[in-house]
Amino acid sequence: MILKKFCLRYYPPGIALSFQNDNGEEELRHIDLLDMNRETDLSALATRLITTEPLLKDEMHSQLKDVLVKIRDKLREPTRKKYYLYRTLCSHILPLTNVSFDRNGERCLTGSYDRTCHVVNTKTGEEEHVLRGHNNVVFSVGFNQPLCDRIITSSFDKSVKIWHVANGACCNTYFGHSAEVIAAEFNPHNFDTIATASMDKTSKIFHVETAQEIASLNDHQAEVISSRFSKEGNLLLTGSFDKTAIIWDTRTHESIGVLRGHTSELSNSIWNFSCAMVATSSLDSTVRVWDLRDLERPLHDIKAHRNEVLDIAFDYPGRRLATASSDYTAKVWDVCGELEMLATMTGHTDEISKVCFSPPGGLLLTASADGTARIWLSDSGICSQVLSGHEQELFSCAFSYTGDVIITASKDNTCKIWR
Amino acid sequence: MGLLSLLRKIRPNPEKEARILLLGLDNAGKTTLLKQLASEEVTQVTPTAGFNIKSVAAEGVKLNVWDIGGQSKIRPYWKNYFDNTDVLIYVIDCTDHTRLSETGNELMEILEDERLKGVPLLVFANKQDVASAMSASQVAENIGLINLEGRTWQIQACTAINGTGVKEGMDWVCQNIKRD
Repeated sequence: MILKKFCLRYYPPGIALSFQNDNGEEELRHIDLLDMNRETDLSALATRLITTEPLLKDEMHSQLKDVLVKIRDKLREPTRKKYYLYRTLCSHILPLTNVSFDRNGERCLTGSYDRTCHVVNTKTGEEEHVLRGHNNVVFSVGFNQPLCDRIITSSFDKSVKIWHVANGACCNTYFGHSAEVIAAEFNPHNFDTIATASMDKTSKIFHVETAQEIASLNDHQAEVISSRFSKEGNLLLTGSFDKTAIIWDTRTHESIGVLRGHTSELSNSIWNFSCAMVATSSLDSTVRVWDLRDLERPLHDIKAHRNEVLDIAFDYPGRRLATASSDYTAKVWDVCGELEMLATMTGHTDEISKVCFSPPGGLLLTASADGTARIWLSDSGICSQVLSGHEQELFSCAFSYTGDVIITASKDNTCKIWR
Repeated sequence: MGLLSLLRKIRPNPEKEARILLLGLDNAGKTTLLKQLASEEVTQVTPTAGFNIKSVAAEGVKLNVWDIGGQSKIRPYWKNYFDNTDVLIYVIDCTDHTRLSETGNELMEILEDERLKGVPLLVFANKQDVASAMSASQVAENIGLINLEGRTWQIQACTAINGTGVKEGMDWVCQNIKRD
């Protein structure tokens, strides 16, 4: 086995070793460095990696350390940086729905009640493409991460479409649902299947090329509002208004576990990075964190919010969880080991409907019905900035992967790009 | 409210809540009517560029009222909101003589939609406080309401800005909520 090169991954920290195997083929081996932080002793870490990874040799120590320094420097986030309003996008004629960035933050997608998805260049603020073809609200929008040469949209018209990023042409339409489609995403393993969630109480798996329905996952008793693949693509997590989440095996299409215990509709269900943990949020005001090895009872039962929990997000390494609520607050939790509340973000004057971490993890972004988005220091809960200017409530917000661009989308028919 | 509550509101009749769709041309007075229903102050209403939703309790029934913007460029999107409608309320500005046929045509067109088949229709003949306003019966005749077949309908004269006639209309709505 011959090591060819190191590949860096900043968020969450990790390296990939590109090497030639004994058959002469190129392979990649991933090493996650989820524990790395701004204070990590990188010389010691390099030594430890060399002792545990046969591909790494003693003489590579200084080179490896240089790589680790680059990764660590990306964790040193300029949290005192202030964002400014860079562009207001007024091209939609009805309220926005969801938004999404591509991997390098050059483009973002905006979905709208006007039945289109716009592909926007974040530098110029111009639309590169207007994706027309859906016959009703475009609800979810996303790329095939991290490649980002395809776009997937789901619509209230009961269909899902995949589009070319390069020319905005529709590649395929996926039919089969009998009600609004709320979510759709690519299988991250090799992008050959997609999973959907629908108000028709099912989640479905389609073959990308042929647009054939491969499976309909019918165990939920009410509307399915989220469906997310695990990072290897072998499991699917669905959340429903039936108060449960279900984990499915994507090869057999059988349920391997039902996450029960919430007493009201789920608002979201998500994996952490390693996919060893799942978090579910509910309108019953609680959040549950589950260890994949024991789906019978939650690892943590978070009951600190005084009203519905509307959104949750893990940080990139998957160690901390942010929760957003109708009680106007967001909270950050350490969910590894003992549950610990790290910070409460207080200041919004109406419910918080979306929450996300900046990729390095120092900042938390929230979107609220009070018409503002806010940026908070994730460790202290101090508000760093109020992003105001929208005329109506915010529906969604996102950080670019590099953390230097923020997009906010509102019921006021506009999006704003902040840098 | 947020996107999640929009999803909750498009569920078919959750917990016996009725879904009321409020349509009409721009400046007909839909948002004013909505505010009147929600007992909110009706000063300073700006054109609705999207939609407003309010939950209103009337006669023990919870009504989710969807007020949809009526400007011509966004009228083609009215269809986005047709699913699971229990009662359609159509608001007409009775002082706008020049656009009476336009509003009538828009109404007849949406009534053709399969999803609104059999849905009870209440027409509010609004702005009766203005002297030049056409009466409810004039409007009904002019736009062809009286020839409607296969649909329960009612026209109610009102003045949304001060609430006159609104309660009478909503009483009719509550009595006629479509139940499959």
